[in-house]
Amino acid sequence: MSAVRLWGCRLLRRRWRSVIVLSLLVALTGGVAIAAIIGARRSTVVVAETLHERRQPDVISIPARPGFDWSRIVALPYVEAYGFFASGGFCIEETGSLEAPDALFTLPPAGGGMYDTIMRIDAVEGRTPTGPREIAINRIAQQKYGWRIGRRLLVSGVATGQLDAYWNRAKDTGRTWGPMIEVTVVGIFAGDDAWRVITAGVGGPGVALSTSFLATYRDRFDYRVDAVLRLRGGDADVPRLHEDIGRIMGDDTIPISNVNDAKRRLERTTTVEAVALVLFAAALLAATFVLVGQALFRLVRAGADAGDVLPVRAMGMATPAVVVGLAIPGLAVAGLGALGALGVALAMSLRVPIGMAGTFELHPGVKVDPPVLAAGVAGLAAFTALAALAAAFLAVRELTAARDAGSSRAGRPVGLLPVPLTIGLGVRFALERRPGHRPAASRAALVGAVVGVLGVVAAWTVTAGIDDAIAHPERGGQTWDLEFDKGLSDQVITGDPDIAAATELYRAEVKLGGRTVMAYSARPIGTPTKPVIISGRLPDAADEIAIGPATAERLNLRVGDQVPAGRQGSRPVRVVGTTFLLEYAGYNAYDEGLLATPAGLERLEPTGNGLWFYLIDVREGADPGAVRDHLRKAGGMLRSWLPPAGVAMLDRLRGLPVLLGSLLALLGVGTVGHALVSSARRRRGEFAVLRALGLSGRQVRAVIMWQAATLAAVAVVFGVPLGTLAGLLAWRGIATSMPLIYVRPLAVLATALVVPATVIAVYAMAVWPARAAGRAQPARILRAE
Amino acid sequence: MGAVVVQAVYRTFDSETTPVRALRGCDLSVGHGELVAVMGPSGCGKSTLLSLIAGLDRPDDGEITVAGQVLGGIDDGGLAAMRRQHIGLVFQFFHLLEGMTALENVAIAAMIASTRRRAAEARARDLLDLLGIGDKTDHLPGSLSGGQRQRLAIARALANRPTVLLADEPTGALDSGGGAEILELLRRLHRDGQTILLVTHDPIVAGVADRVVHMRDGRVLKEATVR
Repeated sequence: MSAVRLWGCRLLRRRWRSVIVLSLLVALTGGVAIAAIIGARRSTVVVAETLHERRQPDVISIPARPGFDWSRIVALPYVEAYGFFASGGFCIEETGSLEAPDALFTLPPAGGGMYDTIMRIDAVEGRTPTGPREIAINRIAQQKYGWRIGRRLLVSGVATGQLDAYWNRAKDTGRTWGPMIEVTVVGIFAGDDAWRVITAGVGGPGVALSTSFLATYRDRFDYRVDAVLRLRGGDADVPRLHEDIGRIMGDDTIPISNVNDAKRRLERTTTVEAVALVLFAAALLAATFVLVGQALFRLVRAGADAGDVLPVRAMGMATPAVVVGLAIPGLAVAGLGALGALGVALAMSLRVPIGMAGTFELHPGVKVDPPVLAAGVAGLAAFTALAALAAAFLAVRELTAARDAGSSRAGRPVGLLPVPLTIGLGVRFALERRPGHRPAASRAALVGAVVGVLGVVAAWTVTAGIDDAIAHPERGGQTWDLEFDKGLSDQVITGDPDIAAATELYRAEVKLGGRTVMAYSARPIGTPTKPVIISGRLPDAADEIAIGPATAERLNLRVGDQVPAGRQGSRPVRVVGTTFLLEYAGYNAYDEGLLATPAGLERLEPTGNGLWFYLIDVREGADPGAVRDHLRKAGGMLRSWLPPAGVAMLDRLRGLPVLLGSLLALLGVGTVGHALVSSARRRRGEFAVLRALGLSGRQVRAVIMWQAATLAAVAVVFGVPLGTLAGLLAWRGIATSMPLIYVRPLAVLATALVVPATVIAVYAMAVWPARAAGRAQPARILRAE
Repeated sequence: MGAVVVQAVYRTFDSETTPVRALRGCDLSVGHGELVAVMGPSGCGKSTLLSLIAGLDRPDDGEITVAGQVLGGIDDGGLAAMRRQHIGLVFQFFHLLEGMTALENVAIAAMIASTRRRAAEARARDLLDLLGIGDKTDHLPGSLSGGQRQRLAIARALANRPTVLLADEPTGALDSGGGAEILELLRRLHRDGQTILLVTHDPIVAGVADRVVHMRDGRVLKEATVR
């Protein structure tokens, strides 16, 4: 074995530069792929872990009833922890006044176990605020506003006795509603909390006042006390709580928000992010395996080509020993690369998870995920070592065994087709595996070229889907431009020529299948806004409903099902369709709830304790801002609203398909480039023979250019339709999981650009090898061969 | 004017240590229909001389004329055209296109010379029949014996009815039986009027020639007429 080591180490010394470069490549690509998988695993658990760690509630309740008595509710035996917070228009003045759409609101703690047994804040920098003039900000606020520890901010609120006027503000008066208190930033906290989870404000800026703020300034502000509760049975106790609140307070329509529902919605997005990270890792590993694998084969074969194999065999070295000796440089790459990958993976783990999941990460830093690290590093080392041994084995076999001169079937019929000779030869060389002992990797090139185009087209198709959904909120059911809370008359709306359609919505909580869901009924004002029907139809009769897809899933309902509804389930209804609804942050997402006729909703919830909204669809070409101003002046109270949460979440995913497509394109470029260069070099003997037969250097160049053209053609012919199909399937999967109305995205311009881009890229890659082949001296090559 | 005329040709190659002076004023003339053997030890410049005559390389000095065409000053494309019209090359190690069938190997040479595909294939079949491997048209070179491979190489070299057939150690990679077959074939071709210039260090091979030219250190030392 010492002879093998001696010989192998000599090969290693001869090729040490290549070994270092290849090891770095393996370390870099493998390490990033491992980090992506660590990130994917983290993405699937980070939301639940963070909410658990920060002792987040299961329920947020905003009764909106003056003098609501919480003492009997929090005394329920299954209430594990509770806290109170003040709702009343508290906001950070630096971000805008109370009327400003971008104003950063905050909910000062108002007792209970806030920041201790529930809704904990863990400062990652500085400390948790304790004094009345102290505040903590989250990392997003730090980044967005540039605030640092020590920064002074003004907290404004509503003055004593002004709260009703503030809630019912009829017009934008621009007035100040109350006092302002200067506070100092004392800490930065990480991760999002339950409030932003249910309001779809995840990833936004946030601030947290101290528990002593209201204790000190309660007399200067007017506010309402709402509660957060964590239940011993978690999600399972939520229906019970709802029933008990109704029983205790004599009103079963008091709304509560189930944080777990919102958490599940969020986890759908983080799952998509995790899948995208896994695909990214897979693409990266594929690129590594193909590109580094090819380089590894060249490295090992270089040892065989150096002419050592036959002499050492002649000296009596057995084939396995020769293989091991020849593979030693590759085995060194396996060891060094895997070790380096471990370091890179740990370093890159600082950057994961990404997107939505990243905003929940409480512990940014190096993530040691032993199973992934062990499997990743071992797998990388094993693959690289196996590739090195395989390359060595093939090299030895080809040098010692009789030459197999077979050719692939793909190439055989092409050569003498009735096309100009250079075209025929180029096509043949592109499709044919070169017989003999130096394969020209044409299959890898074909696959790489197709995968490259496929990746780009698929990425563009998914991106087109995302762009379409962002540009068309109606994909998430939002078929209107403006929402108003109250204060509008039908005459004002119908009298505005720029309003194309309008609907008055009534919202109330009802019982459906034993669960409390948000119910809506619609009354057209002139031309009605059109709800998006997913399946079936809209309700016509009082005992018919259409439901949101998430509600259908949770209650296991299908179109045509009868389901008990109303108090004690005394008003059965029939599901006639599924539809998207108005998203009401904190209470229902756009895929939750039910839509009934006005009579139907009155039948289910006769108390009339609900709320009214106006949905306004502005005429195409008209200025929504002008309509908004007109309606506000007429007494309308504009709701500050966000696009449907599913659509907003998509914006965070936009970069992933582009990244994935770029990687696959890189894989294609690398494979095709390698194939063209290596093919020209390995076929130099054939080109020399053809030159001897009378082919000119120019014709040799043409052959290689036609070879490139064939690769480009195959890439486009197969890559474009397969990429479109893959993109459509991926987008359908994303749209379904959000959910959004699936509209087939077609990246027409991008796909059209792929064709010339592929041709230009492949041609550009072929220029150098073609020139080199055309200039080669056939006499020297023939002599050497 | 002979089929090939070489006058005072010099050719030096760069190498890592000292330049290799392969030809140092070489003179040679091959008449039409003649079979000339160039003999000499390894490194005396035989193969270099053949490459220069075939237009695969250019001399540093001197003049080469093939079929009345002076090669000096002809560009790369012109040399390729000259090869197509006047030169057939046979190599020691065959240099066949391993991915192509026997028929394709021959036909492609004719196609390079702008013969239409059907005509090229017909010519290839005729040549393969003529050289005794007509039953191997669909075989890949790898499945042929050494002698058959060299016959195939000769058939390819004859595809364009060249003025002169250049053969570089045509029996060097063959056993004695295979070598004898090739020599007999060359004799037959010569009898039919084919001009042949072959390079060898084997006296038996040189024995088929009308005239043997001895080379040493890049120069022609002497010529001898065999019969």
